[in-house]
Amino acid sequence: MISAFGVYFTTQWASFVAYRVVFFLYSMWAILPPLIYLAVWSTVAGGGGVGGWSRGEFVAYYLTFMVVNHLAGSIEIHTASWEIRQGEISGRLLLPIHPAVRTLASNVGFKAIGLLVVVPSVLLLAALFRPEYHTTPALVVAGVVATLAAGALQFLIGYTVALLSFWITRADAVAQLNEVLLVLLAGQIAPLALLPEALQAVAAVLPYRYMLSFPVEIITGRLGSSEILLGFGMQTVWLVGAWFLMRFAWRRGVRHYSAVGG
Amino acid sequence: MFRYLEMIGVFAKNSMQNEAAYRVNLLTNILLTIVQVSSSIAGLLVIYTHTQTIRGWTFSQTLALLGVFIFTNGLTHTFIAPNLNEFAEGIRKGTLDFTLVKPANSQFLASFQRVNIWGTADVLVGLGLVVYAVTSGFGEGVGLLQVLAFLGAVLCGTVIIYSLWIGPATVAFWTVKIDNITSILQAFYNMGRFPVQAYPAWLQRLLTFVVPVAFVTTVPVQALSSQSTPLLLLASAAVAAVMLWLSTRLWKLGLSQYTSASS
Repeated sequence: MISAFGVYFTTQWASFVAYRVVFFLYSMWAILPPLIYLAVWSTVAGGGGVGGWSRGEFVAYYLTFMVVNHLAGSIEIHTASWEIRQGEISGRLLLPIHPAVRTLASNVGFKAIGLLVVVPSVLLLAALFRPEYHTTPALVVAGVVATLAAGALQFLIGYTVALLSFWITRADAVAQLNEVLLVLLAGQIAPLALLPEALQAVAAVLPYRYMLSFPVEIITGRLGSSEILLGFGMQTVWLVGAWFLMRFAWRRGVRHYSAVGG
Repeated sequence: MFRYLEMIGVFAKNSMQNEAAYRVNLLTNILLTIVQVSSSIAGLLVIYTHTQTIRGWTFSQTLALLGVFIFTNGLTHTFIAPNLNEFAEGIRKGTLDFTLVKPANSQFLASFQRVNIWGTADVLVGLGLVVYAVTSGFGEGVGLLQVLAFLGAVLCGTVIIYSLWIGPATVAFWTVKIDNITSILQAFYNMGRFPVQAYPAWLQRLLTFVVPVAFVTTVPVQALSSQSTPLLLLASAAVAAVMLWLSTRLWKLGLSQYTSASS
């Protein structure tokens, strides 16, 4: 299983290097949408800050957000869904290894190569916007763990949505719907603490916060230790739930599948 | 001129007949538009609960700007975007030949022959949002003059956005693949959901001179709320004219490179 992942990762990495410009451009999608809100909030908070946030704190929040957005993001609607719709998955079903392993290798490979663009871009933006960080090494470590868990959660949910392609032709519409909720409820439009209280309550229960903004809130020092523990608890609950949902969708989907094309 | 408008009508009818086979798509797309637009409005509301204005822009002005953004974005996704990938494919496979032998302007055909009618939902919602923002927000200051200036600026903005999409797409004559260029362009264009004044100075310059999104959404709303000068509107018209001219030049240059791909 691990060696198969290694082989897939090497081949995926090689193909990404071959088409590197494309993947450099795609990784800009982790940066440009939050950049809009970084710029707007830092303008709004230009004078004396807003809602307890100074201009530099907004910048720190959104720069961290960009990195986590890249590392935790799901690309499965483009990779796995395409395989199912084109019938390419037929051959992979015959292999003695779950096709999701290849999808996961492709996910990790994309993120590794994308970092070559994301890190310099974020450093450049840091020089332009001057962030103000209040963090500790312990918070960063906790944030990294939360980012890995967020990435796993986005992968499981992204893969489950991609599996809908077994039944419907427009799984991409479901993915777009998911994306809209992620933008609103996972801290891109505004840090969740600035949303109206009703929305905050909704965001605390739904999975979206734990897919993206929870690690950012930890690293920027916005959460107390009990809030961090509670967050990790919610993240675990959603991870377990998403795992079973993915397994369920996979079993039903493969049974329902009849290949398209030759 | 009228012949070309008539042709767009025929293309739209064609695609409507094609799409009638996929009725679930209608529901899905309407639902998506509603969710996306409500989420954008919610975003604006959140920002404006923490501030009165963004560099002088009130909530209803920014709402009108969001309407213009959704409107022009809808237009691009109705008319231009569905053609671009097909155009790149046509260069790769040589099927662009079929477009070139038709007795009409080839650039026109390559940018308009496919119509994605679902994009019109965005066009209508965008218009509705502008009307709502004006009537509920800053309606008393809007007279005939402002409406005319607004319509002129929107027309220029539409021409600019058309040239912005078709220009880079023409690069396909040399590079064949373009979906990554259009994807990055869309990411920049999304910055048009806020007035350029909301951005720092370097980004404002980028959005005015390099990717002139400022003329597509900011200038029309400035015209509508009497914040623009005749000079600004003239500049907008000049940018539109120059960009359209450049796009046709680039098209002709690319076309002279085209050697088809059949055996």
